[in-house]
Amino acid sequence: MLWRRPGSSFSSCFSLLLAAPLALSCVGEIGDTDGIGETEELICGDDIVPGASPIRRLTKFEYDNTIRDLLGDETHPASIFPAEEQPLGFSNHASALNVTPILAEKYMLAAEGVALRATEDVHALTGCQVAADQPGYDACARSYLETFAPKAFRRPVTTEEIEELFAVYDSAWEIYADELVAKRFREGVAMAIESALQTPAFMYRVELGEGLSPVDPKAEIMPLTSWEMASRLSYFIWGTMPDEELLAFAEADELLTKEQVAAQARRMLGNGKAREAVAMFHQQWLDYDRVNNVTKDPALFPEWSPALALLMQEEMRQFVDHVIFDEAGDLKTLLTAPYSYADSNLAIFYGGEASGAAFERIDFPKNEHAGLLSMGALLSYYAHTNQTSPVHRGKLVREAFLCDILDPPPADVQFDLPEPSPDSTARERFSQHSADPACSGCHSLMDPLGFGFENFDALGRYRDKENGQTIDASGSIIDSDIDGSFDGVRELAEKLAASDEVKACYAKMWFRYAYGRGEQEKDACTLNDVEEAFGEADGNVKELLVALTQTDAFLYRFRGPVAEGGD
Amino acid sequence: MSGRNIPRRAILRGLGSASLALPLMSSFACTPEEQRLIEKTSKAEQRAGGFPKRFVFIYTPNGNYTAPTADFSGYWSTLLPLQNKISVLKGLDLKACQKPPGEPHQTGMALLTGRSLNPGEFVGGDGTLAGWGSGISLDQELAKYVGVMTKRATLNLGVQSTNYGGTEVRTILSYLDSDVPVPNETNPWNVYDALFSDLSTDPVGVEKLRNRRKSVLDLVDKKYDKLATKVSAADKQKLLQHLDAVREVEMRLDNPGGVIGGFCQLPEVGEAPGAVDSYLGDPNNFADIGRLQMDLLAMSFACDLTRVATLQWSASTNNRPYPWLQYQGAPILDDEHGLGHMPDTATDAWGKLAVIREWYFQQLMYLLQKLDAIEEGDGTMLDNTVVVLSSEISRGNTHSHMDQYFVLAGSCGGYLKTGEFLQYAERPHNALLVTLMNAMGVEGTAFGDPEFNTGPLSELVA
Repeated sequence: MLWRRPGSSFSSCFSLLLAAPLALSCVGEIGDTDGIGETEELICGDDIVPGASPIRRLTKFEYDNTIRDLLGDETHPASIFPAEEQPLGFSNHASALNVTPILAEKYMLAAEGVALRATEDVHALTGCQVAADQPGYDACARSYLETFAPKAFRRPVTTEEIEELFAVYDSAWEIYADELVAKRFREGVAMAIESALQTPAFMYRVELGEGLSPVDPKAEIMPLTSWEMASRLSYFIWGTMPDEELLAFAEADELLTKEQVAAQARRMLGNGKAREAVAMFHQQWLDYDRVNNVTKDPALFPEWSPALALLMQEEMRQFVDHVIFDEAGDLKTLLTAPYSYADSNLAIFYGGEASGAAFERIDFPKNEHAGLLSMGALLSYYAHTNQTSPVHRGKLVREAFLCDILDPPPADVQFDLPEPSPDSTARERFSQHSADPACSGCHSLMDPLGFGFENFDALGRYRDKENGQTIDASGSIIDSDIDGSFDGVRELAEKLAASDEVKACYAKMWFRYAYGRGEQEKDACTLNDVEEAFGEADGNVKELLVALTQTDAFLYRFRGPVAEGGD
Repeated sequence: MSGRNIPRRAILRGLGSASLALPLMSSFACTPEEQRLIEKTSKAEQRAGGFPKRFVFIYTPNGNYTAPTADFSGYWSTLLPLQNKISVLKGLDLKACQKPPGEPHQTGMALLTGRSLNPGEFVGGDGTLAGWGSGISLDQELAKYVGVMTKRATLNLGVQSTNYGGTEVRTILSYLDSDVPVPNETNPWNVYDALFSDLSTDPVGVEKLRNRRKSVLDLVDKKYDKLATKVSAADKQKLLQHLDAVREVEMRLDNPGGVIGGFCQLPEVGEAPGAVDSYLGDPNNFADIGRLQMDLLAMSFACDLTRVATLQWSASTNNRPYPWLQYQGAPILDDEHGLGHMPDTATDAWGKLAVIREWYFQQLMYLLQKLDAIEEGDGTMLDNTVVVLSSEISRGNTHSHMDQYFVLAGSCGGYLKTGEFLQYAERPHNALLVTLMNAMGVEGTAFGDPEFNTGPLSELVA
């Protein structure tokens, strides 16, 4: 079982004994995935322990971004790839990025489309004269590939690699022998691009550490080359390939030290591409695009529409983006801000006043709104079609903000979802449902938490009354470092914002996203360093991202024993 | 890969090397292994009147069918028009799905592997952790033999099957191997493009495209092969899996598919809607998407683009509404999974579920009647096919894997009895899987977890 949380008081150089899992039977934790499971004493700061370092393939998001930055193609070619799995919440989880024949076929089709568009004006692309002869075209092709391949592979290439791509180009002259010379040239260049875009050097972040030596006696832990580090940085902070500046630092071999890496991370966070990647993290963490699949009972909620769901999704994206990049930038503000972003339609829906057509900040009465916890995109999803769901809202807090994994109800549970009725409140209806001792054990973790959201109806609108009765939004939380009662979402948010456990959970989610894997026992020092830095930065999200580039997990690679021979 | 059969990689390697001799193709010496495979394949191809056998598995979520009776009572009467071509099996147990790890909706997705799940990090609908399936699924096993000649080894279709919560083991029926899931294709327009878009182009153009792709993929293939020798064992496995996938694409370039004519016509799918992702996610479009996928499935059989297909209606645990269906005059807006949790005494909940089950049977009939309208020799394509329908659990308020129901349609070229109502007790469903494997012409006495090996269901064999 996984070590849970060291607390924020630990210094960076202490002996960390991995603790026992917590006892409460309703809650589990992610298991140690390497199956070793021994309890070992780590000396943080002395040992270099990067944890598992699986090879990482481009996700759909990364593929689209990379194609955009490599060839200026903004058509989102990855949209034809199958839906990605999200173990532990994130689609970049390395173990789930399998390749089936279907996907390989889509890679081929996507690469064909990209190459076709890139070579529409093949002479402009390659800088080649129109109506050259074959030797002239060949020289152009070779010279183009010498520029294109290092960009596509994000590192210098060998002569052999250029010759391999050239051979693909050259085969077009035979295949299209009955076509005009210019056509043969175009198809050849396109084919070389197609090949390049399907090779592992493009599709994967290949880390071989060529020219470097292991840093440990067992020869299992490798530092990264500056080129490898450039890609680690750019895919983590931008979700795309390195830019010119990053490549220049790699060329100068100046991405080796912690300080060099941190300086680049900070520079990159100032670029708009960081906003997209940070938005992607939050979208996957809270899965708020699921609001688009929500339906509501039209007799009760005629206001609900797909258009409204899209507005809520955009609200969430803008709120997170503005808080992290333009405003206070910290987790506390994400949790507690008494404002949001909305266009006129959405503002009116929430009971505010019409503004402009564009999204702009709207302020709510302070005690009625608290950041992420008051977002329509979450509150309408974590509700039933005809009423609120204190259970699901409580579960959301436990799973997304406290990183709990709740045990399932017994397989044979027969639950009678209460029908909404005009003479009762949701609190009354759901209190009855969880009074059963067989349910109340686990539901005591969720329901009293979820009741705190009762001021928000099934669409996420603030309300004082339900069926004429004044809302009782008192709630309580147990099995946390913020145990106790609270009144409404506002007080809950303040509690969550003050919780070390919530900070550690948010950092752990970022760990999973940043490193493309679940945390393991041997990541204890890395997690501890990250949480500590996050605490010292007063919960600043950008600083958390910088801290994630300063860990053993980011700066080193566990290669393990190298496989022998070929297949 | 299962030890009993020739590893796919060995086959692909042979065929892959043929593509090196660009632009020539196809003539290469068979190794004894390949020769054995080809013999076995042609055995699997034994068919009545020269028509191939096909296999379809249809998944519907959450079980919740009322018990079938020999006289097709209740909404089972929806199936009566094809009664003579249908057999109903009651009482098989999904025993492999009873094994941990995982919660019932996760483990039930081992329907086609007949093996428990691996440990892993997928969080189930209610918190339990599980990994991928732990072995090859029946459709992929069949594809090793009957899928060699077609453009696609299998067609794995989903209808909003990735469209709720986290996407993970509950979105997958099909596996190439332990931990190697085969995702469903959930966008009908993408399916059309991949399968049908090059059927109508000119033969010279098709030939050029094929040679182009061979040349392009030849280098791709080499690069994976080479890199795999330089990395850790775990990474190597990933890269070799990618290489296998590339080789399968290479191999299939020689099988561009059938010729348009007769029953093989381009399916009409219309233009994809503008905001296709939100269209595909909207519960209101579930039925329309399903209709398109079934049209594509039937036509890919008619054009012999594949002979093995799965169709997954929603992800397991499906917690979505059926707003186009009515119960007592009002649309069904309840979370379907929640309805199944209701006690047996909850009349409205089970009334709604009955409407939903009847609708699934209507969809089954739509596909069956399509297949039955395609003449093949003295019979129809349905006669040469076996279509199987089932779910990951039998009943929502027990989450039981016991006493599962299977609807079978078509005799698979006369191999299976039809018009039968068979009741079993305590028999693992692995017995059905091996029977279906045999029906498709693939030899063997067991499929899936050896613990549940009880041989085939002899009373189902004609």
